[in-house]
Amino acid sequence: MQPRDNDTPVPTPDDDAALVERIVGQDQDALSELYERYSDVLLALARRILVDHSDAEEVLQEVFLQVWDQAKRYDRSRSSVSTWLVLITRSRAIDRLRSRQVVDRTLAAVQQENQDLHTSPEGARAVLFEQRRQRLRREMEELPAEQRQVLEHAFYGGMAQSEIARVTGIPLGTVKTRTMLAMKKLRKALRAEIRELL
Amino acid sequence: MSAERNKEEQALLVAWGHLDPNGPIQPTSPAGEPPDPTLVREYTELLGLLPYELEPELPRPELWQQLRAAIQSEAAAGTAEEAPAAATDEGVTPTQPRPKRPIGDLTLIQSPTRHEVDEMALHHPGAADAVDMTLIKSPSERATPPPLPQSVPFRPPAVTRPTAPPARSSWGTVLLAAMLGVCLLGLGFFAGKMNEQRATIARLEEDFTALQAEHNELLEAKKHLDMVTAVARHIYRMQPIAETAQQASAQGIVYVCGKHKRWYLYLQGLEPAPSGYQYYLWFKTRQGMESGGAVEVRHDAPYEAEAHDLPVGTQGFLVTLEKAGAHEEPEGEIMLLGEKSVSL
Repeated sequence: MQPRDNDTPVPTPDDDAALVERIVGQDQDALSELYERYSDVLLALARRILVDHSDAEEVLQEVFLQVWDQAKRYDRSRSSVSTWLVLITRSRAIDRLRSRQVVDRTLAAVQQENQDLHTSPEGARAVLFEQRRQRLRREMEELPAEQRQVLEHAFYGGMAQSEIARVTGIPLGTVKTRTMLAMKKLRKALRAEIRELL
Repeated sequence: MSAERNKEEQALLVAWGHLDPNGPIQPTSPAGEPPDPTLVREYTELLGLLPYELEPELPRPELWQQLRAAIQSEAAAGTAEEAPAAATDEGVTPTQPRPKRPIGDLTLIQSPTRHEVDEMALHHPGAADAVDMTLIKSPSERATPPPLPQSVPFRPPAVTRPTAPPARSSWGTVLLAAMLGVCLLGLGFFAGKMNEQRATIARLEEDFTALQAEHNELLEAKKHLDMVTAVARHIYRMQPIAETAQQASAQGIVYVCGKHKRWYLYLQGLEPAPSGYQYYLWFKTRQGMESGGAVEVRHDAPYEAEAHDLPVGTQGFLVTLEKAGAHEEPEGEIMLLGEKSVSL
C-alpha cells in the first residue's frame, strides 16, 4: 500500500458507501480501495487490542474477508462505512483476545511492547486523517484519567460495565456515570468530526 | 431538562450496545418512546472515531496479496460447491460467514487416492518415488504393483481401458474445475472492468450535462452581449408615470437593434399582477399600438424577454395592467413607459 498524497481527494462517507456497493457486486478493485483507505487504522485498532502483530494482521484479513462476503449487510442508515469497519474489527479482535491461546501470546507480547512498537509515520496519509487523529488524541487526553480508563476498558478491552467495576474496584453506578460523562464530553467536542461521517 | 438528559442517555446506551456481541441494547423508556435516532447515530459514529487516536500501522504488502488470494480461492471454492457433482452440504448458507481457514493451509490439499497413485506410477515410472507411499491407505495393496525396472522407457500401458475410465475422470474433473475457475476469474475481472466503465460513462454523462448547461448559459449571455454591442442600437429607459403600489420601485430598460428587428426587455421592481389582471407589453408605433404579449412578473426575480419581431417604426414601449384575457389595444393603467431612446 502506497502512502496517500496530500493532493489525493479525501474519501467522503458517500465514496465509501459506493465502494461497499461495488464490493457487493464482487468488485475486487473496490475492496482494494477500501483496504487502502482503512487498513492502517484498523490494523492499529486490532494491534491496540491484541498487542501481538501477527494476530492483528490475521484479524485485519478476517475483517476484509467478512466485508467481501457480507458487504450487503452494511446498513447505511445505521453508521458510516468507517464506523462499520471499526466495529467489525473491534468485535473480531476482542473475540480473538478471549481465546486462551491468544491471551497467552498477548501476555508474552506485552512484555516487549515498549521495544517492539511498530509504527509507520508514512501511514499518515491524508491530511484529514492526520487532523482527525490529532483532534482525537487531544480530546482523549483532556478527559479525566478515570473517565478515559473506563472508556478504554470498554472499547479496547471489550469489558462489560460490570466487569470494569469488578476489575477496577469501582462501584457499577460510578462506572456507568463515568462512561456517560466521557461519551457526552467527546460527542460535544468532536461534533464536527461526527458530522463529517453522517 | 431531565427528560432531555434521559433521552440522550437512552441514545448513548443503544449506541454503546453496538459494542455488545449480542447486539444493541433495547432500552426501556418510561415514556415508551424510542431513542432519538440522530443521537444514536452520533454516538455510534463517535465510537467509530475512537481508534483514530492511535498511530496508524501500515500492513505488510504481502498481506493484501494473501487476502486477494484467499478471496479468489473462496470464489473458486464457491464455484465448485455450486457444481452438482462436487456439491457437499457443509451446513454453510450464503448468508452465514464462511468457515475461517488460514491462508495457504496445506491441510486443505487432499491426498491422492490409492488408485490415483497407482495410475501415476503406471504412466510415469519413477514418479511414485516422489510420493510418500506410507501416506497411502491399504498397505496390503501397496505391495501389489510389481516394481518397474529403471531402464524401462515410458510406454502406454498395455491394459485395454474402458471408454471412460473412472480414474481419469477425477483428473479431468480437476482440470475442468481449474479451467472453469480461470474462466470465472476472467469473467469476474471483466465484470469489474465493465462496472468501472459504467461508472466512468455515468460520470462523463453528468459532466456532459453540466457542460451543456454552461454552454447554454454562455449562449444566452452572448446573445445579450451581441444585443448591447450591436450596430444601430437604441436604449429605452422605462419608468413609471404615476405612483402606485404596483410599480413604486419599478424600472426597466429595452435594448433595440433596429437593423435586425431585435429587442431585449429587462424589468425589475414590478409587483406581480393582482388576481384577474395581467401585465402586457406594447410597442408604440407610428400606426398605433401593437401587442408585445403578456409579461409574467415574479416576485423574486427580474423579468427578461427578447425577440426578433420589433414592429417597423417602433417609437416607444409601454407596460400596462390589463384584465386577464386578449386585448388588441391597451385599456388599463400604464405601469411603465419608455418613449425616449438613447442611441449608442
